[in-house]
Amino acid sequence: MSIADYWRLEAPRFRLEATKCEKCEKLYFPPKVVCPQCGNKELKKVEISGKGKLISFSRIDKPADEHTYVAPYYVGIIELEEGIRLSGSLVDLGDKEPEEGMKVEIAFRKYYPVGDEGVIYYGYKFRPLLMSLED
Amino acid sequence: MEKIVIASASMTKFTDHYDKDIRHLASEVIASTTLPLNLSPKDIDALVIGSMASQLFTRQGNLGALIAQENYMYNASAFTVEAGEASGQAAVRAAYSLIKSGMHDYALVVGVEKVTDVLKLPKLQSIVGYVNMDSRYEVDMGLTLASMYAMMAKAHMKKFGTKREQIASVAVKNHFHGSLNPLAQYRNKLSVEKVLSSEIVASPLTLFDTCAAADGAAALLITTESKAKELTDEYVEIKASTLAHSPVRLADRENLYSIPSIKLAAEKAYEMANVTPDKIDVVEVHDSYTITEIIALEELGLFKRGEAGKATEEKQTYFNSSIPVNTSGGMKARGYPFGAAGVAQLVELYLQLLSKAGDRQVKDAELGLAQAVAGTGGTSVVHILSTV
Repeated sequence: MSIADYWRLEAPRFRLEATKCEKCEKLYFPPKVVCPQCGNKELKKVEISGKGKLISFSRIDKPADEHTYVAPYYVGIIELEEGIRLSGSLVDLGDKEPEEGMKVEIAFRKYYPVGDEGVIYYGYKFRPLLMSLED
Repeated sequence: MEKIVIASASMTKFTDHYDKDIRHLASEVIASTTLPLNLSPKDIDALVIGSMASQLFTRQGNLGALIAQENYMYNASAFTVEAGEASGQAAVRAAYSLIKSGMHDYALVVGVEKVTDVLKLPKLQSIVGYVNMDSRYEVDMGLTLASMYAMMAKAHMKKFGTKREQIASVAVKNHFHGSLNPLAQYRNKLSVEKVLSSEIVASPLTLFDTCAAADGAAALLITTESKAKELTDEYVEIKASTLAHSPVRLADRENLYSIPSIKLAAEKAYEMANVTPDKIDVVEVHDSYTITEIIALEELGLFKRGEAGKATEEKQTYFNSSIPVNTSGGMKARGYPFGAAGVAQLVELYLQLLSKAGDRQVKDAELGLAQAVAGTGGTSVVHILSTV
């Protein structure tokens, strides 16, 4: 990934910015520039909750190059409250194993460093949902 | 309409060819595919290369021109087809189209990949991920292709009660077939226990649920039946060639236990060939992971959803059983040099349909199907071949 790529990805990666087609009411994450359903180019930027549940997970013992520094680690597929599904790493599990159906929320974390003194890429990961006051 | 046929086919052994460059691997199969027909590479007017990531593996692009240069094929229309892990079969489809359109007389497909110069597994995992998955929304986050198939395996187990041992039995069967194939990378037999007790790659999948790195090349000569008849008596017909897609991102799919693009490509292929799945005698499917083969067999309609694991455990997919699958040893045992492996699937069908498959020969094989997939299902390609 290049520095320019990183800059372009700030909105979706830092605050889960999605796009919504106001003609057909469809919500897209990752964001799109054209609605593939109706061809509308005027898509509205919307922020999504970042809260959802874990659909499936796996523990990676043999990671790709960029993530060897953090292995072993868990990854999963998360379904957000808005119905969007996305992939991500799981953090802050402590000694616990993740469970399917577990409630999770977005956590802003390091992805991987580039080179010895290069830029460190950051973005969303998911952690078990912290208790809120209503709970 | 004139039949489109494969008039010659060959492959190198798939292994660590430490002494050979990508151009040498390609040149070897070009010679062994054209020479038996008394054709010179100079007679070939289309050269289609199937290669997944030569730029990343060996810092060499434009393989069409490079391989044309090596074999003095300056008059051929030569280019590379890239469709991730499905590159090999996608190249076959491009070559088929060139002949079918009437624009060319002889199209040579060369699948080739030089992988073992990448020495470390993490680097290889990285390249495979970035080429076949959604780089910005899957790979950057730390997901690997193995972890994707691990979640697909878990979903299949949960939905259908497929057992972990049944998934492992795919590797056992493909290693058995590999033991019968002189060109296979691995000719040792394997037990379910060995698969289950090997190191975890992405839970629940272990090292023996995956494929090893290998180099290699495979080639097919595609032409019309009338042109083939001038050269040889031995050829097989390409009855169908189809390609389809499903979302590259696994999270965007309706469920994790199916690969919609395989079903889509298969349905189009059965229609094009005017056959039904029960008529297929021999099958080569994508087995980059053990679970991939199980899902592929179900999407192809060869087994009902949820039944391919049990059938594999019951040995229904052995070469001498009801539905022979991956008689070559598959990607698991024959070896998996990405672009070359897809073309090699058709080399195996060519040998089977011409009764030249030696110890692993399927009895009375008349109709064969080959399927390849990229990543978790972004692209699927299906070919159906028959005797003439």
